Amino acid sequence: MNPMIRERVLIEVRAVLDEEREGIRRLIRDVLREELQRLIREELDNELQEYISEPGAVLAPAVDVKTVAMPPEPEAVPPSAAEVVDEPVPNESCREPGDAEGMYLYGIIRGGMDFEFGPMGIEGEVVYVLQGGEVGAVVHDCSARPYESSDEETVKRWLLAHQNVIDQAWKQYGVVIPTAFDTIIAAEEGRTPEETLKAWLDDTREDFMAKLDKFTAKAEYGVQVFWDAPAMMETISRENDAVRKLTADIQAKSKGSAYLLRQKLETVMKKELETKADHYFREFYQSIKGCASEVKIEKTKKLEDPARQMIMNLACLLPREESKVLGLELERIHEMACFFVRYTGPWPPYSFA
Amino acid sequence: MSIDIDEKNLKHGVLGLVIALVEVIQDALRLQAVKRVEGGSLTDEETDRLGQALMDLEEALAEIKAQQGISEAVKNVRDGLDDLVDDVLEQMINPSRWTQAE
Repeated sequence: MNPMIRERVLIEVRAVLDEEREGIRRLIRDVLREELQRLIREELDNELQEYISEPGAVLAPAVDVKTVAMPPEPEAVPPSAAEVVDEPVPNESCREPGDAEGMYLYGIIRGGMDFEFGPMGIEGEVVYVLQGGEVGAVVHDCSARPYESSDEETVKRWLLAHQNVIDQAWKQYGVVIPTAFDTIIAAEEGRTPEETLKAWLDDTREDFMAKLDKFTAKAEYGVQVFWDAPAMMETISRENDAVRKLTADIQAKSKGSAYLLRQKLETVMKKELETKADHYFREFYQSIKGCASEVKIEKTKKLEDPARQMIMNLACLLPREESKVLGLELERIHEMACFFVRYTGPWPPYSFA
Repeated sequence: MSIDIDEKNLKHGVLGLVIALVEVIQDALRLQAVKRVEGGSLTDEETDRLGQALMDLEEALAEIKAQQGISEAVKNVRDGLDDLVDDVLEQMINPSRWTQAE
């Protein structure tokens, strides 16, 4: 590359970095360092755990869980108590030959009552409840290999079956902690999958009970707010003084200068648009939060249509009978010029499991 | 996976990549130009020349893209870059997602 161009580009890149230096530094200080330290600590603890645990002692609840894909809306997260590992069976030497079976976990329910789900599982597997005292697990027997396919239709069918079982469990038991797609409990250290799962239910009982209590009579609702960006921009160019002045200046300038001013106008517009998005996000978030027991902010999805840009994607946990209250609040937002709301649910509490 | 090299594909790919990179540089230059104008260190004439130069560059790029039929290829590269940066930023500012990744 031409050394002069190279130098030029390097200078520009440095200038940009220099400008943002304070922000980057703050970001790293506030977020990264603390989190990294925590992760390293956890990693160390995990590693050490293996060495200090005595033979025969019950290990920390390191259940073998493999998460391959996320179900579609709403996105589920793996249960917090379970560890996501790459290999279904971490300790090769402990695996009995031929003992490759596992249990596919759909969710956790309150124990006691049995319900025959029948062959409604993934690939028509028979789904049943494994009782573990106060809590129970909705499962089907499977191999320890995760369900994987490059065929989208197949994966879709599996996901649908997964959700159907969770919906059914939700209907029958009133409350369920859904697990992520492809959560498989494998045999571990000479224990069968059933024993492993029971041990895990036992170890995590308090956590599960707390969650089941929290989810009782509640449901998850998805709230997505969109806005019409071009219409919003028009509003800004009408109401914002700086924008109006710039627009007037452009008319008066010669070609080259006008071009640069237009660039500036674009930047100012973008900033104003972001400020507005931020402002409305806060406002809506506050009012929605007031209607829900818990709110999780999800990543917004990009849509091609600028007239329907997602500025907010929330998962809300709230009592089912209060869904109308939230609905009224959302109706108010939906009625505002330039805004649209999508309100979905009730769902099992996927995002809060 | 083998790479399917046919002449047209290759041209679209490489040229698309090059133009996309030039566009990125152009964006940076434009940003700096606006900053410099705001800083007030340029005369009116210099400002006008700078703007004109950038405008010519933009026109030239648009022409090349239209002539070579690579608008789509350039857009793909730029969208890819944007998504990449978005993902990285999203992960950086949301540590809670770290454990969920992959």
